[in-house]
Amino acid sequence: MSLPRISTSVNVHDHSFLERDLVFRGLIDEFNDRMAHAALGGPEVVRVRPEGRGNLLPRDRVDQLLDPGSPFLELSSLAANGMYEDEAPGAGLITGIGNISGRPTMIIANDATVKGGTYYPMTVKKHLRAQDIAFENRLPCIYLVDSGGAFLPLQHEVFPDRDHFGRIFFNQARLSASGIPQISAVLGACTAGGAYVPAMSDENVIVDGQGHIFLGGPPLVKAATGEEVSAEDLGGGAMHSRISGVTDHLAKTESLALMTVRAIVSTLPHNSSWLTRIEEVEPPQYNDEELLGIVPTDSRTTYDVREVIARIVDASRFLEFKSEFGKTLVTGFAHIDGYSVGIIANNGVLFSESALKGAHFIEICDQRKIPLVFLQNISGFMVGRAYETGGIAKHGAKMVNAVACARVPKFTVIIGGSFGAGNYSMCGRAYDPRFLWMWPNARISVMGGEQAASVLATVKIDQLAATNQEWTSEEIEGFKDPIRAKYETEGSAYFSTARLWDDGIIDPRDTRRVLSLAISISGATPLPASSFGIFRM
Amino acid sequence: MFSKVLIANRGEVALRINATLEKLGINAVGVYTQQDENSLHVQRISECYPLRDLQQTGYLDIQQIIAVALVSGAQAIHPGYGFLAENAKLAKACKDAGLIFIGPPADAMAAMGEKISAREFARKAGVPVVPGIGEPMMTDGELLEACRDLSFPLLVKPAAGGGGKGLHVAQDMHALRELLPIARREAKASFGDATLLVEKYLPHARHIEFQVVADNFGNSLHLGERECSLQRRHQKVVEEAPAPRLSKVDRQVMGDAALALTSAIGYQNLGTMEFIVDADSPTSFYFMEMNTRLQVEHRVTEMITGLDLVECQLRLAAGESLNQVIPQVNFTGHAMEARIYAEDAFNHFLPTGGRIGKFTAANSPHTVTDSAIKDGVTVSSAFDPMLAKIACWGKDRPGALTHLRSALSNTVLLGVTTNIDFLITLLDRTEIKESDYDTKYLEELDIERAIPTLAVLDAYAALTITSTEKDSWRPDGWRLKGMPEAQITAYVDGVRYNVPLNQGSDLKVDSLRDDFRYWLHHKSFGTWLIKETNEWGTSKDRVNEEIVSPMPGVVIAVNVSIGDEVTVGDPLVVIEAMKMEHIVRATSPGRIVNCDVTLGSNVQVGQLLLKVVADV
Repeated sequence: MSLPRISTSVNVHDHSFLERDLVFRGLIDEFNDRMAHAALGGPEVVRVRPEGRGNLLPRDRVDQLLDPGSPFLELSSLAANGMYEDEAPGAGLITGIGNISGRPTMIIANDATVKGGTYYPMTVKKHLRAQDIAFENRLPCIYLVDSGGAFLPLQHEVFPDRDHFGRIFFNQARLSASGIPQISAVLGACTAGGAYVPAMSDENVIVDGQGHIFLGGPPLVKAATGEEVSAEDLGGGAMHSRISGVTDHLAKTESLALMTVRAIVSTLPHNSSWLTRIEEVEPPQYNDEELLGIVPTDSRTTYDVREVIARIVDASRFLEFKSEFGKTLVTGFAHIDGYSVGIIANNGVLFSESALKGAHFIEICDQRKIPLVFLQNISGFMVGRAYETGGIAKHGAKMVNAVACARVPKFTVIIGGSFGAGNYSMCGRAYDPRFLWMWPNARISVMGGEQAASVLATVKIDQLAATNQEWTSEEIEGFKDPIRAKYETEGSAYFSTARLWDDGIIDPRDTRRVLSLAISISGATPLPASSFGIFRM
Repeated sequence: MFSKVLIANRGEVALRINATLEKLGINAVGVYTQQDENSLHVQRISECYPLRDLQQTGYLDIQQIIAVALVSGAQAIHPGYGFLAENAKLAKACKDAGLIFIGPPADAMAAMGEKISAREFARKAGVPVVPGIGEPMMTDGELLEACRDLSFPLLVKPAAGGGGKGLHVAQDMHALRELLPIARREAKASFGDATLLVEKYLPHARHIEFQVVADNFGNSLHLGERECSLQRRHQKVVEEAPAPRLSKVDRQVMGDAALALTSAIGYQNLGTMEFIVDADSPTSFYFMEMNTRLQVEHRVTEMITGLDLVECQLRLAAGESLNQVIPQVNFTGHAMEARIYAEDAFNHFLPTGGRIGKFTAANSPHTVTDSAIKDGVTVSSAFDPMLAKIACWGKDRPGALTHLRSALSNTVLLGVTTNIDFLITLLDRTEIKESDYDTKYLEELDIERAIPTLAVLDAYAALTITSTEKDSWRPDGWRLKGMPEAQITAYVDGVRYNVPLNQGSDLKVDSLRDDFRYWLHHKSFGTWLIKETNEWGTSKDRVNEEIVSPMPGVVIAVNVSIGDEVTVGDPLVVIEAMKMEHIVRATSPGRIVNCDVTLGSNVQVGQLLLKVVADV
């Protein structure tokens, strides 16, 4: 039984379509520039050196490690973008999911061309996030270690707290305890804290003459005890493989080390999944290129989100749920690359009815074990006396509650604005979606810059009024401008992704494949039993 | 004519002789040693007998071979080439056993088998020989004294030798003095006879040989000549007939000389007179030696004469007259042959080995491929490195060249590095097209293997993708938009290439996968060995292996000393501990640079025994 097909009203020759398309392609150009810059890693002078030494660059390592042709779902490529004086592209770490020996695995690879692979605060956050994803989806973890440990100038933001450096090893122990394999390849330095990554791994490989593991390197040893010792004798692969037993496999070359990891992964059990998939997949009927002309880059402009859904789901087929009720929220069933999903998408501000409809639909999907996909473009819940008296707070709470407690995997894509409590009910970062991505046009903040400026100005004007003072309209604007500017900067997708508030910015045309890859691995964790029936809201 | 003939050989020549026997309706008897029990000649020849390898390989064991001939009821023995083909003792043993040896009489063989006497016969028959000294029983001192009259450089060769083994060139007296003992040791070791021959060395020479045939009644004729100047390590690589730069007059003079010597020694059956021609003075030619057997390159003569030379051998041996066997000789067109060796021709022709995973002979017009290789055969240094030979006929020399080039391109041989691509590169060279080369040409040729083209790398990338996944993880190399495209790593000749995985490849290649090594062949791009990873020794990384004792114990054997070359698995040291002998083996190839261990000494666990360093 096929689901009904969404019909489109998009006219690709329409003037407004072409204008939106042009503006969006400008955003894509900027996105591509930033991605390309981040993908390069450290400064050229450092990048050239590893190759000269016969070493591989971190992206070459990942390519060699993956099965030939395997997709690679890279995470947070733009982490630390614009931070640390832009000295840490990608936060000096490559993380992502790819197939090794036919098994989806989490790869965490240091980029030694970025400050010797040392850990900035965002590096730690990116590493921990990758481990969280591995835990939730039961992905074996492969660490390609080449790091000097913590970035010392920022030690106070890296070392002491709960979610700082030490958490990496805590996670390794807990992941291993829950049966998720931890494997590392030592391809360069593993100094100090870095030494614990291979040491805490279930099984590891080291490259002879290239990989080193020590708690304190030769200079530190000399300073501490006066002992003079070579890096090779102190922590070389031969020593660790033959004498200390810190490493398990000694590889002659880096590329053989990566082959060894592939062989190790081939011995791991395959994950079983409760998800089912339809074999015969039909791509969307409408071209995903049209997304760029459909979506306005100004989140205040409205459009029909069904046009987006039609360009993501299989055959553009979508069975809408409660289409006549709470129309500012679109809910319904579809397939993405053969996987059954429940889609929840904003089509305007949330009213009580929309929230109730959302809560009801989430309950249904959870009961049927259908993963949820949130397409977020929300300025918030409706405000005003009528709505407060109608209990919009308690109705909104129902949807937030349903989102928080749903057992099924949730996936969030911020395709426009993400403001206020709308972020919560639409499965923002705090609601533990398995993955959260943003489009380059997306904006995220507690409220819009204009609203924030107005609210703060009103508060200020009220204070002034209490002392019989008054602001001219110029003074008001002068007060509002820096607030608008701050919200403008901090609300951008790049500001968000730099700080790991999401798992990366994606090109809208990648949405279907990204979701498909993410959903495909989400069925490995068994779901707990549900204890209530579905409440009709 | 015979009704049953024993083939005392293996490999492609055994198949070649068998083919003629089948054509003539003569039953064939084959022989084989244990390691050949699955080889093609054993499969093809319906009646085969095993030979035991005793002191030497069974193929050299005259007693066993005669015994097999008698048991099987064969009336004659064809020795092929190599092994016993030029061994007069076999000819004599046949005669003694009442069998017919398909070849010349034992005394003619003996006369030509030893270089010094062959020179003497040639000189007496009026055939020019290279100025030189060579008498049996001469000491080094006598030889040096005698050489004072010759002009350097001089060529030193074993009198009993052949196949280019044990040849040395001395530039001056001093070098000659140093060379002689070495050359004698080699001659003794390789041929069992330390007698040496010293001759004037012609730096620019061409190798031209005449195919002669004689019956048992004193009649002889020649079937034209072959040019075999393209050689490496004195082994022929490309042969052709007729010789491209030989004038009609010179052909006449040399042919007459060849026949004069044939008659002078009372030669019978098929033989080859080898001459060297001074490339600097083309009318000067010298007798070099006579091969008293069928030659590897006989196909080119067959192609221009239309004769079956093995059939000629059989009929002449059976007593037919030359008139009956070859009523007249007509030469038509041009023929060229190339030998496919298991060697890295771009790297000093170093021998290679491995397991042949795929072999498909070219199916080109006017082409004959002789080989005894088949899928699954392991090529090792135990036998000749020649894997196959391809001979082609054309109306003229350019025609033959074109056919040969095409046949080489269409030959698929995967699993072992061969010289096929080198041969193709060679045939494209102007010097070859214009036949402007001498016997040194190949060894002095410095050509490098081409780097792989994008088409080859793309084809390789497509081959590496073995996943058949159809879901989200389908192997399309997907990456986030904005990120660098997926790449496949390829190592070719130790150099790393990153191959973007774009649209795949439409190139239809023959391929073979052996773990992380891929062999692929396309007629336009040649044969490539591409690896997913760099292997031991191919990277510039440190390659240095310390061998330590696995047990505390007593050293009861030390098999190596400093400077020895070892390969993986070689036993180095034996340690006795807990009443057991532990063999410590090399874990990497290289040279022993350090050996801290002495026989009978006590060693501790983990104690350094020796160090192996790979030669870079």
